[in-house]
Amino acid sequence: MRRLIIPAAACLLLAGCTAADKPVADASHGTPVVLQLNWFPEAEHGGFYTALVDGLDAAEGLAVEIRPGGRSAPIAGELASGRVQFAVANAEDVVMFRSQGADIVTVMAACQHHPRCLLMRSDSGVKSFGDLGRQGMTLQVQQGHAFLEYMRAKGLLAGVKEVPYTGGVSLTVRDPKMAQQGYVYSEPLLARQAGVEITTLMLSDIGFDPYSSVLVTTAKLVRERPDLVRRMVAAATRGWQRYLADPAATNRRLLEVNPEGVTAEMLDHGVATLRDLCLPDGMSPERLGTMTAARWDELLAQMTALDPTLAGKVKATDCYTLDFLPQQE
Amino acid sequence: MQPLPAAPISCRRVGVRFPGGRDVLAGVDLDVPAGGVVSLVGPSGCGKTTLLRCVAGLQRPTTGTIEPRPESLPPGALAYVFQEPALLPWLDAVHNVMLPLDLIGRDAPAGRRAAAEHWLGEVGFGVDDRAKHPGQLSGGMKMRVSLARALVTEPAILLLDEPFAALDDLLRTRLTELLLDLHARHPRTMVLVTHNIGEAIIVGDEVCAIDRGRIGGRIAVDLPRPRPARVRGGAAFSRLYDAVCDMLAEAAR
Amino acid sequence: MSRPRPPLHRLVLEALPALAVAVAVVACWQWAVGHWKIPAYLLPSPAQVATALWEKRVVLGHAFWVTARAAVAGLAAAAVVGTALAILFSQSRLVRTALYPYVLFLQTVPIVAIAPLLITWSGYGQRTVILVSAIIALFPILSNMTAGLLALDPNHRDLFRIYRAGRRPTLVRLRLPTAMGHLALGLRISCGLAVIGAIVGEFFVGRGGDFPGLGAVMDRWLTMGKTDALMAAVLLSSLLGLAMFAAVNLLTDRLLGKYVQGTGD
Repeated sequence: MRRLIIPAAACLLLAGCTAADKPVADASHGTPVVLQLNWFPEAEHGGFYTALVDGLDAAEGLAVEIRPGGRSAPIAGELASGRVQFAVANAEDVVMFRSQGADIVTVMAACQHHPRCLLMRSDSGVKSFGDLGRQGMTLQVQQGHAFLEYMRAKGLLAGVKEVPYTGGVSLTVRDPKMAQQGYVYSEPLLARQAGVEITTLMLSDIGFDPYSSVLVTTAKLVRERPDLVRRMVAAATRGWQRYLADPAATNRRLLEVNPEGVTAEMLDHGVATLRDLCLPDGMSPERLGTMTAARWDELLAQMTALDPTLAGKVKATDCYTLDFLPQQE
Repeated sequence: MQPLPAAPISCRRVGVRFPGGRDVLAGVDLDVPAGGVVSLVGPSGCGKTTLLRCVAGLQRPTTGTIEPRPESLPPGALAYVFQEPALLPWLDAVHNVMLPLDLIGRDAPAGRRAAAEHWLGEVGFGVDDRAKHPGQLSGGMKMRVSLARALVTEPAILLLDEPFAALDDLLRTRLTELLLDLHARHPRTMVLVTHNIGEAIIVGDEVCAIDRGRIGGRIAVDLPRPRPARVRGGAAFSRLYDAVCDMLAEAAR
Repeated sequence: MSRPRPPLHRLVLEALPALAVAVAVVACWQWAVGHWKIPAYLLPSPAQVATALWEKRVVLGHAFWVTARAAVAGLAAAAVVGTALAILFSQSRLVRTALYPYVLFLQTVPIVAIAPLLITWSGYGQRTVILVSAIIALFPILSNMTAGLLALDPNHRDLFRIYRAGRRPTLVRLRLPTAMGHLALGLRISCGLAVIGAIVGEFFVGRGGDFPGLGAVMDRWLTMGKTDALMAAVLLSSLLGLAMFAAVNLLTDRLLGKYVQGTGD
């Protein structure tokens, strides 16, 4: 009996290693495809998980593996190396990747509006972006994000003390003078669960509103395997349509893959908010995922105003393609 | 600065037992008259350094008495010359010699410096070398500084633990002569520990043999002082040398 | 006295092998990026890093001095606190055995856990950056100084006993000077840690004053994916570490050189 202990332990160790690597792929047939997320799996990725969970990927002949991201998701590198074929990002990230020389293209935009917001306690007295400076707030932000520079250019950060944002909501909950960045369907809910009244300010309200939860790939893949891209876009679009209508199964899966980062309550709240972001103003579900040239032009104009060197490096039309989306009526 | 009168040393049945039961010294009797010199000879590990440390107050004897009791002497009345020069490397020669005066707080700093310079002169240390640090001095020069440091408080008792062991023969002879010369001009009670028989004879009034913690014998040295180097070539010296060798061989049995 | 300085041309000759390695590495790197067409956001070429270094020279220049000041202040604070604690530890075995484990604990707790606490107590400012730097730099100074204060040449100790020197004169005239050599060693080890500490502190505190330090700009360029500028900042960080090491070496040689000499035997 004793002599079996070491081989048994070795087997367990190996099993543990391989189990950790096991991808979240249900279908064992079809073209293998890897989708890289830009953060830990949350509601903002819901539709992509629905496509997997409800067999929509398999129906298009795709065996999709979804790779969660984290604090730093090296999307550009992963796409360039060919280790992943698709990724989830935000429109402003695509501009940034292209400015670094990565030939990345947006093929579908799940959310028409951006969830970026600032949040703070309601007893801070802040009711608008202008109040941040007037109330002498301290703002926890990640330096380098486009929305921050956008606010700075509008003079909204005058009198505001910027400090690094390292995650969570604990500092904001404890201190009425503390504000932070967040996504409208995550951090505000976490803060409310901690028992404080929260005010949120949406960046989209002051005009910074790139597409979010966009599906991106390399221009090379679009050129060489357009059929694959078409199938992926179709599956993802259907996935999002279904997620917004009936998220229960997907949310269960999200809880499984990210038990530390999300709660059932957060996900339910997330879906409710996403419905407004993805299908605003009564947009019909068939139009989910579509993009317009005008929106991309506007984004490029805004970002070039903040960083003039972009003008030479990035053209709006290179950032996206409408070829795989239903045509405008 | 008042020179302290030379004090006689008297050890009665001094014993030192180390933890573990080993008797490093047992029943040692030793008398040194005021101003007299006793040389202690013996093989390595015989306890002669331990005896010296007891007299100095660095080691507490397990049994027996020592007069004068080291704690009853005023600081500076007793001086010790180590096997190594043991100079402080961050002080120059003058300040190394001044150190005992600084520690016992005697005199004003100006007076201390003058005393240090005086004694450096007495040991034949060059004026130009006073500002040098030990790292820049040769072995012989460092030993001279060490001697000067021991003498700067004009101690009543001077204890020397194989002071010239690390030096070559030539230096050794020269410094032994210096020691004799200093003793002649400023007599003080001295105990010299050495394993060099010739040195023991030429310096001491009496040579005591120690072996395995016990006194093996005593031989009085009847050579007249002063004792210049050529005394070593004389018949009286040779006789004494043989006698000491026999005594040591006897003690070893 | 300290060792005589070798003539300049000898120093240059000594430095040549290391310089040759640097040139070879840079050449290989430039070639590899070109040959394998490595994209800039993954690994910029030396030329791109140099360009970023030039383009961002004003920001980087300010950042260098901000971080340098914080690291120097952190090192100085660590030296003062480390020496004071070492003196305390050397005087009493009871104090040593009671407090040393907590010093060790402070060293092993990851700074990412301590930094938010420090910010809560000390706020978002340069002072907190210096605090982080000092905490990270403390241990080598403290442990070396304590060892130095306790490590006495037995003859020196006996010498002081012969002349009945009390606790304070022994500390001031013997233990402290003996420990100076160990202090020099501790400072040399700690100066690199002080730089790391300042940069880590800046990750958590952000901009502590008028200008962002190297840590703050690195954080920003990491988020923006500007790998070439990031590498330029990393390069400057190591330069800062080297500069501090050289400065500390020079200073300890000048001031503490005579203490490091050996026992003079």
